[in-house]
Amino acid sequence: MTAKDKAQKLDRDASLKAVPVRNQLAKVEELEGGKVRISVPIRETWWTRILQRLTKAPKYKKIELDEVGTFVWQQCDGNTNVAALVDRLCKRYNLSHRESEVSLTQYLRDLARRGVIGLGVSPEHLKKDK
Amino acid sequence: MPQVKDWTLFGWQGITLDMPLDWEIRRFHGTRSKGYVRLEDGDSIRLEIRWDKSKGRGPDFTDLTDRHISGMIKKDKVDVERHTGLAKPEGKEVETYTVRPPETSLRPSYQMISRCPECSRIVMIRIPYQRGENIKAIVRRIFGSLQDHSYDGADVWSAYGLRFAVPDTVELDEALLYPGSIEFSFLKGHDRIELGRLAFGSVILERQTLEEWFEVFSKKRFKRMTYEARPQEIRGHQGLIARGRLKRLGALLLRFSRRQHFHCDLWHCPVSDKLYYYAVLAGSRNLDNFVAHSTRVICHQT
Repeated sequence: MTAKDKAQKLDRDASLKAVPVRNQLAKVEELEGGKVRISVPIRETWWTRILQRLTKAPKYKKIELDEVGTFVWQQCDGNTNVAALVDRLCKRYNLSHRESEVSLTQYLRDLARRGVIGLGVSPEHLKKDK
Repeated sequence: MPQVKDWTLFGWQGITLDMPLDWEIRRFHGTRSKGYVRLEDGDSIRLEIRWDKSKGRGPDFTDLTDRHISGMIKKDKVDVERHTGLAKPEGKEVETYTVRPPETSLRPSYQMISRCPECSRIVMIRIPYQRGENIKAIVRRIFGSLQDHSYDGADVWSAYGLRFAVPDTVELDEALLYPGSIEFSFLKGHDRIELGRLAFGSVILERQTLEEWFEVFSKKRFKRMTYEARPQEIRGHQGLIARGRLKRLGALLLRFSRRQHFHCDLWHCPVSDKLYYYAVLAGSRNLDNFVAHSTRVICHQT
């Protein structure tokens, strides 16, 4: 089973208990207005290496986060789980719990897909899915 | 019996229904004439709606539902119990029934088929429930509240607390939900309506004025437009109005077809502490009608 398969099998409870962890290789730049730009190394494969040599393509992809994205990034400290993030987002931006949960889980999935963060899931939740 | 304390209005593609507050849209596809939407409560699917247009007068409604139900029994081997008087939305032909699959692992569901004699729309609603769960009162309210066509030429849309109405002639292009923002865009030919709610009103305005924020926002969002913005109170709230047109290159391409005008209302509602924008890019034929619907974005309940 691939990591992708495992991620898809997480139920709501397991998703809320997952802990977003920042990519340690990501470089963070602070921008005007308190926003951040994150540079994530592009995963090296034989063809990206060839492409980089031929075209001098950048080794990092840059992702600029908006106000809320920056807030979410700042909260991804490796200890806070998704459920706590949802609560903080609700309080900070006066959102309904449901809206926060749906939008945040989608957003975290997107950040994980781009390699900005990883989602830590405790082994018992993975075992339960098997 | 489960009690629902808080209800809201759900509106999508001209269909509106009363809905428990925590049932929210998670999947959708299709157009105004044919489509699908699914609502979930976080744990499971709570409601599905499918809609289609009946062709002409179509068959007799009883024949239509009889065929649908017998097809379901034959294909899925389900048990169907028809109801009388579970719900009767005003002015509609309606059939309501419960579907119980033979496998205990599958959830039974309340279902309703309705056809509107006015707009010929066929709407099918399915509300699955756990075995032993009594949700009849909830189902009755949802089914009974069905409205399936536009009023005064406008469709009411309502999701995640954002409620507005746009002309029923436009088609949904995109609906996006991000943390802190919800945005919709609609199209009619080259004409366009974009609107959204951003949930960081006071956080933004701590650091900058509304005009300064709009300048940065519009550079990304409305980069093809050239406009002039001026402060304007909108519905008693601090706001601004921007008016302009497509930038030269864009305008040049459309010169031989028609000129497109840009209009944007932006305001900060301190009651909900959210920023709202309603932008129109349209030719003179649709401009006034599209812009007039800006007043139909509800920023707070009074």
